[in-house]
Amino acid sequence: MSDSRFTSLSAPERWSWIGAGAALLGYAALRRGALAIPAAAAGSYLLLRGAANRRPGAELAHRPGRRRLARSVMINRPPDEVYAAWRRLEDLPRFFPHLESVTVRDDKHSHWVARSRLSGKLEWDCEITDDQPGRTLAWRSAAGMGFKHSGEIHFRPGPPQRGTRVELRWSYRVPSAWRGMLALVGEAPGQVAREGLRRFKQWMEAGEIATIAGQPHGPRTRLAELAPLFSPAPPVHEPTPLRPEWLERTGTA
Amino acid sequence: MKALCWYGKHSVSVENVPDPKLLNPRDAILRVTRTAICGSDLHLYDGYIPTLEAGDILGHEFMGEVIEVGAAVKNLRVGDRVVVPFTIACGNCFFCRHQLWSCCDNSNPNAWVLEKLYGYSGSGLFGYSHMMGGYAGGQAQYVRVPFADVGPIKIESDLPDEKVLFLSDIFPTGYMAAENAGIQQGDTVAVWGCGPVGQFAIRSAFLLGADRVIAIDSYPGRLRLAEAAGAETLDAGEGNIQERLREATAGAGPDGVIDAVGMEAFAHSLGGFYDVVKQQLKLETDRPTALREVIMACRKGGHISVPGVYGGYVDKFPLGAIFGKACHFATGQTHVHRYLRPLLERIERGEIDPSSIISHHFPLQQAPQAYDLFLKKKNECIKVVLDPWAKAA
Ligand SMILES: NC(=O)c1ccc[n+]([C@@H]2O[C@H](COP(=O)([O-])OP(=O)(O)OC[C@H]3O[C@@H](n4cnc5c(N)ncnc54)[C@H](O)[C@@H]3O)[C@@H](O)[C@H]2O)c1
Ligand SMILES: [Zn+2]
Ligand SMILES: [Zn+2]
Repeated sequence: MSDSRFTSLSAPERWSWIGAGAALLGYAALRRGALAIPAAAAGSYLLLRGAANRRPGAELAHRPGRRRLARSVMINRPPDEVYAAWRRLEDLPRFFPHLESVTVRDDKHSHWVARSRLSGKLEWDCEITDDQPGRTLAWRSAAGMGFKHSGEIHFRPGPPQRGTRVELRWSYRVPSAWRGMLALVGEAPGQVAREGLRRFKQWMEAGEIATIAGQPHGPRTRLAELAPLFSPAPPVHEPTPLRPEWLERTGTA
Repeated sequence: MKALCWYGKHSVSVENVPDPKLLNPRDAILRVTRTAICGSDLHLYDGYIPTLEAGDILGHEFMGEVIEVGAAVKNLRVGDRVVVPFTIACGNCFFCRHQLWSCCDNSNPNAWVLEKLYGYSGSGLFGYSHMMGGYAGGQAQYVRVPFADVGPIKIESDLPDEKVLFLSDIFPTGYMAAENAGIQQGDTVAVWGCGPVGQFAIRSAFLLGADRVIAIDSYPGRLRLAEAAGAETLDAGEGNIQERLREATAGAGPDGVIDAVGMEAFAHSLGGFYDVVKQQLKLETDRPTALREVIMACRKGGHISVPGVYGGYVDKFPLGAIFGKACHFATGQTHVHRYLRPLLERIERGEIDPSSIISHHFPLQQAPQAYDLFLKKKNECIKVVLDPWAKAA
């Protein structure tokens, strides 16, 4: 199978990309105004791809490579309790702000809905592939749907008096051209995993998830309103109720 | 309600904003009865702490009356009178369980920002920028207090607000600074900065058994207040602090040294001017002019204690002097929760009267003038207390 990323271009095609890029850059330099920045960005992109002898956009057509990541967190609660809280899959949207809902169908199957700033709504079905209470949970998304990934989470006793070491592993495919953009809008998978685990830890230890959404402030400028839009930790908008077991098991120190 | 909002460098104003509501089950809402302006607020006012947003409500030293509690708050009732620690802490994480309250893992919703800057994030703070959590502060008529079941301390006696308000920050801060100075019988402790934090560090050093305290600043009013607490004083404006401290300690240097100045130290030598220029050019974020002097003055094997706030990077930090003299070094946001009960008891027993450092009272409405007065240290201003409910004069 020929991979368009690695085929060189014919000379006329190559020079027309370079020419188009230069023209856009020239337009941006002369005209300024609202269109100047996107024109300059597109112009540089076309020029660089042409110079590199590659067709612009070819990277989008390329099959995304498989990526893996692992993120871990120490939670000051025993493994059974931590496992049990994670196993209530319908609670996971509390921790992962990009998840809209998780609907549990049966012991093994669930339906997930997420919203990305970049790609909008995503839906997929999930199947649990390994379930060892108090220790491990593994899952895989159904073929051909939404966010294609598999994952596992392990709960191991930490050092004495330190609770549980939780390790989340993901294996997923994201088109390579998207990776940089995801990071820009605060959705790099590594950061999403880290923020999700952080909130899960808050829920386990503090019984609630820290938030400032809905608190008062004085009149804002436009710029200050934009700030939270790109945060990897967007504020939790719906107030969370107290984690049900928190008062009896943990209570106030 | 009325609240003091930040709008940029040297720009704050009192705005009408919505009243705070309960957001989480462990929250409480207070009607603020007294609040104060802190030296730390001046770092915000001067624009040295990033990630504030126009419209943010400032203030982290406040007390008041509970008017509403969340479902999980069992220890407070409507009507209770409480003082609130400026560090927000969950009470259940590893750090809270080890009394390291200002390192709480679970109270900063924007921890990722500080992780980029410092590796790991400390606790959330009231009214102190979004990287510290973005919590609305207490220079307002009402305030939301997260984790109200572990933070606030109830004041059950009839002590006036002015005597207990500073439990929220500067009294514990001065006290922890003195603890970090490792005071032993017969020790001499030197304190740079006779602002509110320095004043409490001086008084706490005596409470902890220091034999002598030497206080350094250049405002005569502040030096007089230090003398009133029993300290000897040195006017920083006259220079040569290092030599004068060596002489004052018969050649040994102070056993404990405390930097109660922080990142906006003024310069009384050419070396200090260098830091002013570098900070203006953003080549360093903090001016360590006092800190260098503190480190150089410390005796061999002595304790260096830094309650003064630093935010980023400093130049020409004399690490070799700390190493070469085998000094101890301790710093950090105050673990306020640790000190609430024992320090309230000291106030109740009459061992200290925190209200003695207050120089000015203003209605909240006049907070912008009060910030200016405190910044420029006009009219012998040392500590300003605001009344959110008083009518403007
Ligand atoms: N660690 C904490 O948790 C904590 C809590 C509260 C305040 N602080 C910090 O403590 C510091 C002091 O706070 P404050 O309320 O007393 O502020 P302040 O501004 O009133 O006091 C600072 C004092 O230092 C003096 N000073 C400046 N440069 C000096 C120098 N080179 N040598 C000697 N003295 C010098 C000033 O004249 C002033 O009197 C600030 O940095 C503040 O942010 C820390
Ligand atoms: Zn303070
Ligand atoms: Zn905590």
